[in-house]
Amino acid sequence: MNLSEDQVLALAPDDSSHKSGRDLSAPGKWVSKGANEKAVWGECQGSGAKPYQTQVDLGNLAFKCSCPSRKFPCKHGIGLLLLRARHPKEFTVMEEPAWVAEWLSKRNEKEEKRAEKKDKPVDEAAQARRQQARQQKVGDGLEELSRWVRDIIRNGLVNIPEKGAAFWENMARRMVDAQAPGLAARVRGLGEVNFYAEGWQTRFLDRLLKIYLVIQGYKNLDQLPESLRQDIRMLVGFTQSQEELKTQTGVRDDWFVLAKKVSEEDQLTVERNWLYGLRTQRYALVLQFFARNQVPGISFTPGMVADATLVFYPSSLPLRALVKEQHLTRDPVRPGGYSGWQDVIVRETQYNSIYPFADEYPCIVSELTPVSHQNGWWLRDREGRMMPIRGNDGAIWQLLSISGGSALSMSLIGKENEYEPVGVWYNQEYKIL
Amino acid sequence: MQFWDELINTALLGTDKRPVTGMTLPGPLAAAAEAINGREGTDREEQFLQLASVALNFRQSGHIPLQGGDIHMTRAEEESLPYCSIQSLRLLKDILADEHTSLLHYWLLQCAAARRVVPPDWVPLLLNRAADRKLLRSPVMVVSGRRGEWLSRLNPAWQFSLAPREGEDIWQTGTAEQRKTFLRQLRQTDPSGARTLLIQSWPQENANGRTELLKQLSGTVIPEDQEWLMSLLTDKSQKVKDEARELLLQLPGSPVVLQHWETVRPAVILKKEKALLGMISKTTLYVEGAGSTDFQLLIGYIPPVYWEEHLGANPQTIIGFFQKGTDTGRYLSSLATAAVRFRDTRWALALAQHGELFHADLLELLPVKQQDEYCLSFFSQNVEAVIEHVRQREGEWSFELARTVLKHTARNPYHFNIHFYKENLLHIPRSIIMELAACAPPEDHLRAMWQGISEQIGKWVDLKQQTQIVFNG
Repeated sequence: MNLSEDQVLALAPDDSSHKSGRDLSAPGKWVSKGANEKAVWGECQGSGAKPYQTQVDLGNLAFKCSCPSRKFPCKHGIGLLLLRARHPKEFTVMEEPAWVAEWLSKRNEKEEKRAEKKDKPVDEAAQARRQQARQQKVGDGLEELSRWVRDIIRNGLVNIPEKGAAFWENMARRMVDAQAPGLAARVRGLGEVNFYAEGWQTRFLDRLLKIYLVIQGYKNLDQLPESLRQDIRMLVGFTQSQEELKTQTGVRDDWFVLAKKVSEEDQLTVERNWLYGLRTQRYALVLQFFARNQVPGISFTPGMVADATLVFYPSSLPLRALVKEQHLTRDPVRPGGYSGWQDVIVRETQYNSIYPFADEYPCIVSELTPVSHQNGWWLRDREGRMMPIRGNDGAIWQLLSISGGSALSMSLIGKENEYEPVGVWYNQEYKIL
Repeated sequence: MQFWDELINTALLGTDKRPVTGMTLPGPLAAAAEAINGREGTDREEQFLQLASVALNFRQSGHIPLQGGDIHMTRAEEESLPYCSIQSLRLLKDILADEHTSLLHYWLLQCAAARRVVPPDWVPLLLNRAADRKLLRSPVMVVSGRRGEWLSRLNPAWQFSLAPREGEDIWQTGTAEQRKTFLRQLRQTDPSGARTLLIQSWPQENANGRTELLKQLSGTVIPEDQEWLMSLLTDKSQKVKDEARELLLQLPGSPVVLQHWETVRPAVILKKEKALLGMISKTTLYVEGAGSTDFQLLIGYIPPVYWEEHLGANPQTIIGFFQKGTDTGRYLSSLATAAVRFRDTRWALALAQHGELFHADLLELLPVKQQDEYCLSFFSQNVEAVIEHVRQREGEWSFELARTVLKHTARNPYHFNIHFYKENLLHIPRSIIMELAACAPPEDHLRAMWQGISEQIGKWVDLKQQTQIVFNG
């Protein structure tokens, strides 16, 4: 697997690691280095007598370094991969040294042990009681939420912008107490609407109605098909056992990483990785949650292709997935996509008829040209249909510059009447916006 | 989507104030509304929520993209120059991450000189940097190529990059600053033409405007200007008169200068005297009946070349007369002022080499080698002035000058912090890198600070050299 410089730098946990990693990408900083198809390794002279030993497992993009840094990956890991990206000939292909072989071997053993681990015997009766208690708590909480929603509708939205943070936070906490964290997040989302932006009323009402639908869905859970039942439970905040999910066969494919979005939620870092299966032509969303200064279990870099097996969470519209197994990372190839906006909206109508709760979908569309219209930027397909661009100025100018007024294939995230370009294919390369 | 707007209006007012029924709904929604409203025991809030939920999915499933018709985008022209190399872009990335404006400027100039352009995905980043820093605008536009030209037309924040307006257009319709800049630039290439333009527009300029425009002629006064400038000595505005007089004082042979010369000349005389009990004769300079500050000022208005004829000697000898004369040493700084005023490079060199004073203004008239020698001779007594001058210069400092400067700045890290070295990086020669350790101050705590700074300097100098190599081989 060969990561580009951009992909390596995207792994840096902060700006300081970015800078320090670059400083360590000079060949002179490394006393020894080597690589093969499994790993890259090197010894970097620090201030101490003994050089730091740094190694990277290329199969799963995992890092290990003997330096005392708590950052992950550390500057040595970044520097080593950056050096390899810039000067590949500096790395002689060879058998890994003992200190690398030992680490790789331990990693393989751990994976095997995880696969062999037997489930602990479960006290089913206790589990049933816990589930019953939770369902009661959730039911009570949703009743209260339902009354709150109806109060808002009765009194009108006109005074909503004046509500203080406590109005939202109090109800969100009530949902947390009711063990409905999914709805707690959605209630907080109501308070996060930008009430100064045009169209806030629609954005607010959309979010409120989705909360209402979840409540109604939960109240009538028994009447729903199994897949939609799973969706409602997930939206309320019931979790699915990842170990149980991983017992599924899963879908093995070469998964192209379209985009990665990182946000902070409840003191956790949430990473949204949008993937596209090159053979199955399926989209997937892999969420990773980790505390600050920790590294996610798997490093995804937009533009990379991972040969992996994903297992999808049960849903009427399976999109969210887990990585069951990662086999290799491959060199990027350019996927196909929709030929225009008509295909996208037909797909969306189909999706909404099954699952009306989504806030956004990924898609790849070929031959889109950015154009100016009504003081905004739009994407025009080859049939002349246009969709507005959602996104920050920086990404839009980047897109315009790369396009130069020509049509390009792009990956986008969005729905209905707004799409955000997140990556574009230009001269056989995937450029992240 | 009238149905959605109606729902929003109801939602805004609240179901207490506005009924859910009576909306204009499309067919499928109307059927749903009938079913919802017909259910018994459903209050208004419930009716609204159910109807709105159905309408939400109806709306989000039914969006039709706009048909673009004739809406198209102009295309950027193909680049005529090749893109710069991957190695040069890596360097650029490092330089941008360090927020190093002077190194960035250097990189841009090297790229432009090598006739390369940056790939399209770099253009917005560079245009943004140029929007913040005037220094970068011209080279950014060059290295951004045709893509940069095309892109900048789309963003008002990057309009600085549009092709410059024609001179006449600027003179007729530009802002005050633009007109002053234009006039100053035109004086360098066509001084008579610049004067003609100014005379033509003179009736339309107010007193302040006239004064400011006159100031742009300073340093470029030519004999052909004299007649017009003399006419301005009777201008209604005192400011204009003063400025015209200042300009005439830069013109050797102007009546104003000659008037001053008639005052000064008789007072400055050489006398042959006997010394050592009459065994030798020496020539001594006297300035009679003077000594006031006004007289010092007056000497500053006299073209130095006049002294050569008056005293019958060359500049070096005359300087010696003033140095050794009776109470005449004080006039040496006035001689230096005059050399600068009249841009007399012979006298500037003579004063630098033989004078015993440091006059910072002389530096701009000296060749680079002599500038360095002058600065080094007087460094310890005039540190601030020397450093101020060498910062403004173009090109690298000589090894000796760099060593002297860095030895001083290393001892004063609170005054000369890391930003000083960043700003002056392009002046620092690569050859000094091996000497950086030797520039360290003796005090331990300063030595530690210098170590960090010198490591950074080494890194930046290395980046500078790599930039040279990637573009020049």
